[in-house]
Amino acid sequence: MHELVVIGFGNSLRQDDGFGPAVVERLSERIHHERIVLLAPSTLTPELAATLAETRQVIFIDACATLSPGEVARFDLVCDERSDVSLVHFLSPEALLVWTKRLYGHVPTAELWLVGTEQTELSEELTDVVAARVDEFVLALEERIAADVPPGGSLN
Amino acid sequence: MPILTIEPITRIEGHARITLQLNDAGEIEDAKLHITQLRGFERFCEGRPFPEMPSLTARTCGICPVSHLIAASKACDELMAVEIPPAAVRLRRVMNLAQLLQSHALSFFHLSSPDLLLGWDADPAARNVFGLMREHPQLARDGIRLRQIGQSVIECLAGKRVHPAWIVPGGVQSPMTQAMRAEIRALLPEAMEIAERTYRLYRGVVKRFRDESEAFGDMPTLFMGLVDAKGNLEHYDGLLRIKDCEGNLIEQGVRADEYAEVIAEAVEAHSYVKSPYYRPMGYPHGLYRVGPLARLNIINRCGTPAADEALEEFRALSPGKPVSSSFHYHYARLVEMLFAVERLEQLTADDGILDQKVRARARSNKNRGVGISEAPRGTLIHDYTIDDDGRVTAVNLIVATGHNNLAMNRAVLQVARRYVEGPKVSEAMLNRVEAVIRCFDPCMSCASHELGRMPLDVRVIGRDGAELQRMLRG
Repeated sequence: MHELVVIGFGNSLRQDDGFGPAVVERLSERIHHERIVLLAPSTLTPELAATLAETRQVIFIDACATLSPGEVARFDLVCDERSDVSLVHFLSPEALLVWTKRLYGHVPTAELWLVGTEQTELSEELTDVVAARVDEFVLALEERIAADVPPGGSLN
Repeated sequence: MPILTIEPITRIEGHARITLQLNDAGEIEDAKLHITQLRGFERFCEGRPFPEMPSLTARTCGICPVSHLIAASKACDELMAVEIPPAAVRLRRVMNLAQLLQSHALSFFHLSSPDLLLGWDADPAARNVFGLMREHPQLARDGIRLRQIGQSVIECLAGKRVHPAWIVPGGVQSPMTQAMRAEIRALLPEAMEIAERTYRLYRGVVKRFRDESEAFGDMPTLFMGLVDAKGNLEHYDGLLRIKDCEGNLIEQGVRADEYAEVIAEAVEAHSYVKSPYYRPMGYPHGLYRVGPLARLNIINRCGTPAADEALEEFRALSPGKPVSSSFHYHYARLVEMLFAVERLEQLTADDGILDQKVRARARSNKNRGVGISEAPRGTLIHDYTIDDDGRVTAVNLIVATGHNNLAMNRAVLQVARRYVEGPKVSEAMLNRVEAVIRCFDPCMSCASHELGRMPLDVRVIGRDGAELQRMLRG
C-alpha cells in the first residue's frame, strides 16, 4: 500500500495549466520515498484507479480558471457516487475516486489543491504569479509528508 | 518558448452536431455529422524549427500522442535523409504497439462494451461503465489493467506515460536496458491472458448483433492501411495498400511521399474536419475507411499465431470478401490487441533491441518529408515542407478520423434511415447514432465517447429548410 500519491495534472504547454506537473517535477527532485508515488499526467485517466486502490491518501494538484490568479484553495474530496462520473477520455478527481471505489472497493483519503491561473496561452512558462506558488506547494507537501508518512525514504 | 496567438480561438471540444434532412415524404434524405472544433496545428506549426515537430504535434492528442511522435519523427527522418538504427526502429515499434494496446483497451472496455454487453435500449443511466462494473466487474478491471500495462510499457521506455518526448528525429533518445526489457516482458503474459479472455467473450456475444451489423455503416467503401513487405499487418512502416469492397487490390506499394497521388482532401462547410477521398474516384465517391477494420481487410496475414487464428474467424463474418460493416471495428480491435501483445513478445525477445546505437544525427538535407504510421484509429500522415534553414513552411496532417469522415457521415445516414421514422427523433435512435460513431472511435472530440450522454445536437430539417425538431443532449 502506498502512503501517499501526489497527482499534479495539467497541460505543460498551456502556461499556468502546467502548474500541477511543475509542482510534481520540483517535488520529485527533493523527495525519494518508496511509499510515495508522484505522477504528472496531463489528464486523469481510468487506469489511475488501480493506483489509487493501493493508496492511503491522494493529493490532486490542479490549476483553476475560476480562482483569482495565484489564489490558493484546498478541498477535502469525498467519494460521492451521485457525482458526474461519465467517462470521456479523462476523468475528474471526484469521478476517479468513484471509479476506484466501484472497481476495487477502496477509496483513499483525498484532497484537491488548486491555484488560480492568470494565462493559459501556448507556452511552457508559468506566469510569475503562479510560478511563485510552486515552491509554496512543494513546501506544504514536504511538511505533510514529514507529518504523515512513516520514514522509508529520504528528503534531500 | 515564445507565446503564440491563435485566432480565432474557436476550440469547442466535445461537441458533435448531426443534421437530418427529410424529403417530402418525411423520410431521411441526408444526414451530416458536424465536427465543430478547430485545433489549428497545421497553421501554428509553421515557422517552427523542424526538430520541434514531434513534440509539438504530439500535443494533438492526449490518448495517442505516440502516433503523432512516430509519424512526425518519420517525417523528420526524411528531412534529415537518414536511416535510423535498427534498434531504434524496434523500440519505436514497441512503443507504438503499447499505445495501440492501451488505446484499444479504452475504446473497447470502457467506451463500447457497455453498449455491447448491456444492450442498446438500456437506460443511459445504466448503460455506462458503472453498469458494466456491476454486470461484468472482471471485464471492467481487465480494461483498467490492460490500459495500465500499455501505459507502463510507454513509461518504462520514455519515463512518462503521456506526451513522452523519447521518440525523436533520427531514432529514440535512449536505448533499452536489460532491466527495462525484463520489466516489459514480465507484463506480457498477463496482457495476453486478458486479450484472449476478452476475445473469447466477444466471440460469444457478437452473434447477437446481426441487426446492428447490417445497419451500422455496412456499406461499400475502399479500405486503406499500411502493410509490410509480405503484405502483412503493419503499424509502424511499410507501404500503403488500398482494397475495394470486393477485395480487389486497387493500390499497393504506395510510398509515403506518394500519398497525395492517391489521396486528395475536400473541405465541407459543415465541419472543421477535412474529408479525404481516393483521388482517382473523385469526391465524394472515393470514400474509404482506415483503422482496425480496414487493416484486417487489406492484409494477407497478421503474422503472429493467435492473431492469425482470430483473423480467420473474423474473416468468416464475410467469406471471400472484406468485412464491410463498421460495427465490426470492435471485433477488429480485439484481434489487433492479440497481435500487439504477440508482437511485443517477439520484438523484446530479440537481443538486437538492446543495441546502444539508437539515434542518427543530421541537419536537414531535404525540403520535404512525409511520415506515415498506423495509429490505433488508422493511418496517420504527417507531411512537412521546410526552408533551407530548417524552418517549417507548410504542414499537412491527415489523421485517422479525417480519413474516416466521409464514411462516418455515410454510416450516420444509414443508421438514421434504419431507425428514424418521420420527423420524430427518439432516444433509441440517438443511442444508435452515438454507437455507430463510436465504432470508428473518433478522436477529434474526446466527448464524442461519452457513454449514453454524448453531447449531441440533432436537428431535423424539412424540405423547405425549416427546422422541424431539435433535440439537444449533453
